[in-house]
Amino acid sequence: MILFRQLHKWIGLVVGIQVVIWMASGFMMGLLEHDRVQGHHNRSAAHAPSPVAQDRELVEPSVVLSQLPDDAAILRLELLNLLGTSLYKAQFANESQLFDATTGRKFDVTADIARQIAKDDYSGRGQIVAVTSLQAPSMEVRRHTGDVWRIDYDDDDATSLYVSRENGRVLERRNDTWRLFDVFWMLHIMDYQERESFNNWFAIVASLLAAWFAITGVVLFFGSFRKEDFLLLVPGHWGRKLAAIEVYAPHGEIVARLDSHTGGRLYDELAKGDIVLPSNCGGGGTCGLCVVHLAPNTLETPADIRLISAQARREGIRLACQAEVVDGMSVGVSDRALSAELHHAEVLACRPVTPFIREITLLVKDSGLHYHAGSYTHVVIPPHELALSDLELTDEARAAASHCTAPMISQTDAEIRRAYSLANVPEENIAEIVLNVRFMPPPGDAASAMAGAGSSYMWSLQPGDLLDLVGPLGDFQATTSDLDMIFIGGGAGMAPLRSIIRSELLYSGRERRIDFWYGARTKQDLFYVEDLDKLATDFERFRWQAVLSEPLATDEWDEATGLVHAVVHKALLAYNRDLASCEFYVCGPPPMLAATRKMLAESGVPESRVFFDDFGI
Amino acid sequence: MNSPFFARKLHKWIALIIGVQALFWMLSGAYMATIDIDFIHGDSLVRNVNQPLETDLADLYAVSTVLKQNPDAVQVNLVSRLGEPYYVVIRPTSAALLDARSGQIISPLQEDLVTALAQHYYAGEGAIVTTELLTDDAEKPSEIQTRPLPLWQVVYDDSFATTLYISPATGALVTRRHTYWRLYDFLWMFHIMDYENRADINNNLLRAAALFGFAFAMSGIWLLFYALKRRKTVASATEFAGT
Repeated sequence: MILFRQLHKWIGLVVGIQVVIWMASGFMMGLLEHDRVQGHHNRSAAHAPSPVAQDRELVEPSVVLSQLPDDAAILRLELLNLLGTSLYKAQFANESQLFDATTGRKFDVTADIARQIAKDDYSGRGQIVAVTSLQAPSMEVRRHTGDVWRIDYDDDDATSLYVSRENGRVLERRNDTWRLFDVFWMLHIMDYQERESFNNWFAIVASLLAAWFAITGVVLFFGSFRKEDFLLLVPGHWGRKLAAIEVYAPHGEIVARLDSHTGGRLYDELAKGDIVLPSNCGGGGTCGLCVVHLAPNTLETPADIRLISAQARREGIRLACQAEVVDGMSVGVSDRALSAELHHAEVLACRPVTPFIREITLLVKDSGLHYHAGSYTHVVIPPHELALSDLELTDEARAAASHCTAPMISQTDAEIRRAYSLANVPEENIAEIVLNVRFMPPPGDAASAMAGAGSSYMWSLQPGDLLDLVGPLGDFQATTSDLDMIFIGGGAGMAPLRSIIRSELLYSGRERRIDFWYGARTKQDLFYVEDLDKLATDFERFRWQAVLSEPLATDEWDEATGLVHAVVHKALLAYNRDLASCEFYVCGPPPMLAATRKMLAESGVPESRVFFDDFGI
Repeated sequence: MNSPFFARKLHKWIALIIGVQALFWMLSGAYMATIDIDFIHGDSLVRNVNQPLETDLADLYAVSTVLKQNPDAVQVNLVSRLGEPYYVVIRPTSAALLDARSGQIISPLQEDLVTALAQHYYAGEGAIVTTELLTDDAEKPSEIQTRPLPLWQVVYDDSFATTLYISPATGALVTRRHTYWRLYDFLWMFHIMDYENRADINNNLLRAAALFGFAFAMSGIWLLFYALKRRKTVASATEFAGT
């Protein structure tokens, strides 16, 4: 099948344009009325030819023949009547000659006679405007030879009749319709000079290729239709079963649940859910762009085997255009497919907001980033080599990395992507976005360990540096219910939570009660404190509480202490909150996130009320 | 739907409508372009069709006499048949063949003369299988097209199944047919989609089909545009490593 596909494509490249020309010219030739093309619409109704005039004595054939050279091969001698004059016409292989049948002398078809012949033949409204002598063959009388008269009319179709000077016959009736037809004819038969013979090499080669082209097309045609395709034509979903599809982003976040039907191609069903995978071939199984992640035991189609490495297939990578929808399937799609576009951005400002968290403000070029509060973006981290001295670290972060003695603290040969949540709100600015980037020091005490590649690169950025990012991504966002919102976060989880809180308080128009619990180790790990305090002052329905797990003596901390999930648990019990009227929004380091979700589940909070982002850290 | 997908679907569904006809067009077109049209016309299967008149024609039966006997003649042609001079008298609705030396009326031609003429015209190696005078319009072979009956049909047993048609009125070889002509004509019927008369290129079926054919070809070009885009590297499973 792939051989036929390749053949069809490459032959199509060679003869495709000619096939278009054949179709278009064929259509036009079918459209132009043949009567008109032939000039028959302006031809006088055939009246019976006049009998040979006998009013005068006629000479016998021998008189005519005796005037011809001895070696003249005469095929036929015709006695006929032309405009009341009896004439002999001597027909040779390629020419003819008229003789007056009463005198036996050669007879010349003069301009006046030609004009009269034309008048008798033509029934249109035009008048003769010119009678010209010319020598055939020329383009409009290309099938004839000898001297001809061209009689031009002034009708709308610019008719020209051609009368043979040798024998007085009307050879052709040409007009603009014919002239147009003739161009299409030329294009159709590919004889660009003579416009006469389709036995030319262009036409032979092109038509043989086209025949192959059509045969390969028929084979492909039978390969490309399945009986399910015809079910798609039936209104409703007759003959098809419901099929639920779960769509997840890289790293497992569920981004969509589609109610689909069996029988379709996965690519199409995803497209109906606005998840348009990239594709160049449009489902031909040749470009290999529409890859998705399916269950590893999913059937491998020939296209999968051809385009996807064995390793990737073992892991469940398949082409969506080849995969069939089955009920309950889980589909991993790349972020590019999640309407996430590549954007170019410039670093505007960088500042550490805690010893380990850097606030980076980016200007997104062109149309900005159309995100919602809670979105994240993939930052494209280019291949790089960074020494510790290349990073703009705080003293504390530098100390945490000081055990690393390798020359490079971060090194990568391949482009990688790192997800960062947006810390600001789209209602204020879609061009300037704010990221909170935590520095990931080299783990443990191993001297050769390196710091996180993404965070190292992000901490090396300077204002003016350029950056590519893909986004917006994710569906972590506020619901539109009226339930109370309880936010629980830690570390860089501040970013999406603060964004949603700000958006909800300042721009949603709703009046929901919002509690925010934020866990950190020490007081200096807290940030955006003033901003949150101001919101709490401005909005009575908003409260926030920092929870420190390891406050320093110098912190003089007399507020909540401990792990944030434990503190929240106690508070919920203590205040006897009606958990059925609350939604929970959770984001933070993985251990904190896991502990919090466990705590909520054990407290009887249904899963549907818990929204979390385990990604934008 | 992204546009390559739309293009592919369009191409596929138009193919359902017009695909088979497009195949017929291409196959018949290839046949017509490849096979020599003069061979199809049967030029190589016949000879002596335009045999020149003898030069010594002094003692002919007088044309003026022929005209007096046929006052309604619109044309009198002196022609050569079997190397001998004959007059063909053409009247408004009929024709006759006269021996140009004796003035004797030969037409309508009988089978022995037709056989002799056929052998004179025929350039092949085959032998005559049947010689039949066709008179019934209801049984007229379609390969004669619009030519009026009666006509003598002379069928040969050669590999081309050559058939000569000779006019009983004039002895002229009206037309010749053979297997490759018949195939050509059959394919031509499919090419112009006039399944009745195989002649009308202005039929609406052809017009509609050609329009679909044009859309078919254009959608193909559109698809080609995408198909030729450089293939990007295939995403790997590593993107989904976190799952």
